[in-house]
Amino acid sequence: MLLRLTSPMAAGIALFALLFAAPLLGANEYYSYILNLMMIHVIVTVGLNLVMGHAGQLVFANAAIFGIGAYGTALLMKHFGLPFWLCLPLGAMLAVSIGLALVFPALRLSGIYLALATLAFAQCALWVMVHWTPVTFGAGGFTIPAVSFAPLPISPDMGMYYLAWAVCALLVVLARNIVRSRIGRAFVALSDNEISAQSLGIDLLRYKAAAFGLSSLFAGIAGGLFAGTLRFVGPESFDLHQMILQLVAVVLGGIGSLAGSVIGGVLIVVVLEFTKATKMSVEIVFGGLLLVFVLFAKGGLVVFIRRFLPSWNETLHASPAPRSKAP
Amino acid sequence: MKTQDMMIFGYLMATGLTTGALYALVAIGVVVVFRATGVVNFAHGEMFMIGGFLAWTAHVMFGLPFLVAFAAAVAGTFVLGIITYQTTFRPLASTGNQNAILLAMVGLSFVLKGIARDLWGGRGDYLSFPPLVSPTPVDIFGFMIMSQQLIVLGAAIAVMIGFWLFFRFTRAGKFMQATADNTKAARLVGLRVDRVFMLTFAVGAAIAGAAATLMAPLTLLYPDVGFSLFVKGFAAAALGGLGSIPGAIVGGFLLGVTEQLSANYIATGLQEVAAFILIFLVMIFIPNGLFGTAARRRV
Amino acid sequence: MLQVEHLNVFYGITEVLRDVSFTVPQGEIFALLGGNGSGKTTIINTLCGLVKPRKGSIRLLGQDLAGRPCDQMVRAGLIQVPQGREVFASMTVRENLEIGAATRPAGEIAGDLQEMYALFPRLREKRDRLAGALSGGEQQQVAIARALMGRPRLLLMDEPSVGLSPIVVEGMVETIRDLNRTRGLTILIVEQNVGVAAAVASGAYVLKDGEIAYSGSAPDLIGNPEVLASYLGR
Ligand SMILES: Nc1ncnc2c1ncn2[C@@H]1O[C@H](COP(=O)(O)OP(=O)(O)OP(=O)(O)O)[C@@H](O)[C@H]1O
Ligand SMILES: [Mg+2]
Repeated sequence: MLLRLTSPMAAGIALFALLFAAPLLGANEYYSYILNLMMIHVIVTVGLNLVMGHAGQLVFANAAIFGIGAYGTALLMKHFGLPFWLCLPLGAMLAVSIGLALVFPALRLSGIYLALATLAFAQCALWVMVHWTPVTFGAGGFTIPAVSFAPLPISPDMGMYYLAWAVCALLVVLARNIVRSRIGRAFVALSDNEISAQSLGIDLLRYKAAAFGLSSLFAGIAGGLFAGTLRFVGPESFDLHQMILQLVAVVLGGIGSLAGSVIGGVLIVVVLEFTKATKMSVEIVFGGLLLVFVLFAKGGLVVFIRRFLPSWNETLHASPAPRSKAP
Repeated sequence: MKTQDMMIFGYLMATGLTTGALYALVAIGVVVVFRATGVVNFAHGEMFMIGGFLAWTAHVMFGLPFLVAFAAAVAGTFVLGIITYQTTFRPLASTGNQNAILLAMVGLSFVLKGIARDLWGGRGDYLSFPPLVSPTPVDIFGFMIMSQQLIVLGAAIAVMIGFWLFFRFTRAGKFMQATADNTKAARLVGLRVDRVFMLTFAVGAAIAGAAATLMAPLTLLYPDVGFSLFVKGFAAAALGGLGSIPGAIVGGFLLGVTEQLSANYIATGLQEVAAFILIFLVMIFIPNGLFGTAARRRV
Repeated sequence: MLQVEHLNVFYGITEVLRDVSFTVPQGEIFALLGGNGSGKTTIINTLCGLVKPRKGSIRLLGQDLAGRPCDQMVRAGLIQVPQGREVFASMTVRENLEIGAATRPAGEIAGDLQEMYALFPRLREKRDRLAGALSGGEQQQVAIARALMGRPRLLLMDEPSVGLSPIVVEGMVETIRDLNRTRGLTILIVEQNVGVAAAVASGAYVLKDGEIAYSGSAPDLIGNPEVLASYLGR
């Protein structure tokens, strides 16, 4: 019985049950806000891990795509007065369409080249956010009104919390199904070796597009929720700091692991809050975490979990093969 | 009216060539490491940034002569290059996983930036460097050019020549070249290629330190200047095909001039993004650079 | 001069050399024969430190060198002329030769350089050309001269005749004999070309699936139809 509880699925259900209950159990406004940020980062991390971990494509534009989702959602509200429930999917679609455009460089580039080309793209996107003042309100950012969930009897903050909860749960399940599907296996084949993947009949364009589209969808939706939660959107939320936050989330949890993405998304928010509270340098802490995990714990925290919980039965991709017990 | 246009153009060209020379120096560091190891040192900009702060510390804080500050920056970044090699490339090279090496370098670059911010000032704090010479312009062929720019341009070219001499005539330089050319053969003749790689990272970083010291009197120093210069250097290197030192030099000058001209004649804001746009377009459409001289290598 | 005993080499989990033992006496040329993938290059690479053996000893003049890194093997005198020549293509012939002496003090190499030019007059002519622009035969000369610049005690040659025209191969055979005769250089040569092996070697070993299958004097081995069949039969 206890063993069963330590499978990724059981742990996931327990986590989401806890997240659902937290506000009801009296988590104060600050804690609810932090939990909300965690769920948003879980969504981003799961998406980024699909493209980075499973499909093996090093993309540095995800923070900007996250920002495009946030800007898309909030600007539609601001300029056209459209309701949030409509702006969120539209913003996510904008993020997806821009993310899909990155497939074309990704067809020609890989590894370091892809990373730097997408980084350059991200910086261009950031530049537009800062300089296209009539539309984006420039470097200072802008605020949006609280999202009303009427006629539901729920405050805007709680409404946003449970919306994030539902979306996060849904997307994690979606990611789980994708990873286990033919698409997921094609991603892994892609990351192992593009040429042999092609010779196995895997259509490069289609699956790269799927990987980029999915990660952008996750980032875009998360961005919209982020805007709705903060009620403020500004370019500095999507700069290099956001990029390293997301990279740390993926590497900390475990490259190529869905459970790892969830763990990573949750943990970076904790680490970030702790770092700010203790006035440590965010750059040193997150840069150090990235460096240390890449050097010494390539598979991330899930590898440790697996070592201690034999019933943790997730198949890992792209991370080093777990130490199997002698038969 | 006509002459005034010419004056402006001359000024832009002088500024473009001067900054371009510095971009070229940063690009040379990127290329040297790339040719030898097949990876782009993501923390290269932080070598530049810390080099600048070291020069500032020596020259402004301790009042040492500029040349001493230059030497301090070069020596300090040389060591930083070794640290970069030891903490990122060396532990991961045997895995052959370039993505991991790049991620480690990203991590290191943030750590260095954070340390610099703690040591030399917070976000938005800009340190300034006194001018090298009196800011009177000199008249060259009817163009008024800042003597400071001329000195920096000359010094940057001198560093390039020094670097060329090092490669062409010293044993260490030739060992670096040989290792970049054929790592296996370098092992077979008994070179300790790990040492050579370390030296390559160190020399690449030291050039960035030299560039930073030369740039310091022209601009302000702040912790984020490293990333900005890395991007310019990488854009210049990519323009030259990433594997070619002459290509990187031409790329640097081209980028410097393009930035100035596009900022003045098209839109001011373009100066900041020109390098990003260039990287994006070059990587997609001409990944071998303007001269088709890319040398792609494995780890 | 060289005594190899019970050498075991693995690539990952596959055993490529299985308990390989052989010797090369001082002043002799020995040939190492064997079909494709039988492990010849692996032996050479283990001898010069590119590949680490799991077990066994490599004694050069009595000193056990097994498992040492490449630079120490080179300093000890085990130097390889690699398969495919592997010249420094973007550097001049002269620079190639100078780098061959990387493990020795810079002051000592001027004389050796002249010696190499005397041995290979063609390289003197082309000393300032890029090695990558030379013909295959010339590149082979560069590779041999570069190895000699390191002052080998035992020269290891991995299929030096591959890709060369018969006339060029003849010249190379002459060079190899000459190096052995006039300088007393000990050589271990891997060859697919039985003619070359027969022309230069006094002793020979045949490798099959990572094991020494036959050993003996070169003429005996090469004259033995049974061996030749198993050797060429791959
Ligand atoms: N780096 C490697 N990793 C794994 N296996 C290898 C590696 N190099 C060689 N092998 C395998 O080891 C065996 C011996 O290879 P080796 O190159 O030593 O053979 P060889 O006798 O030199 O062949 P050839 O005549 O083709 O040069 C072969 O089966 C080869 O496939
Ligand atoms: Mg071979």
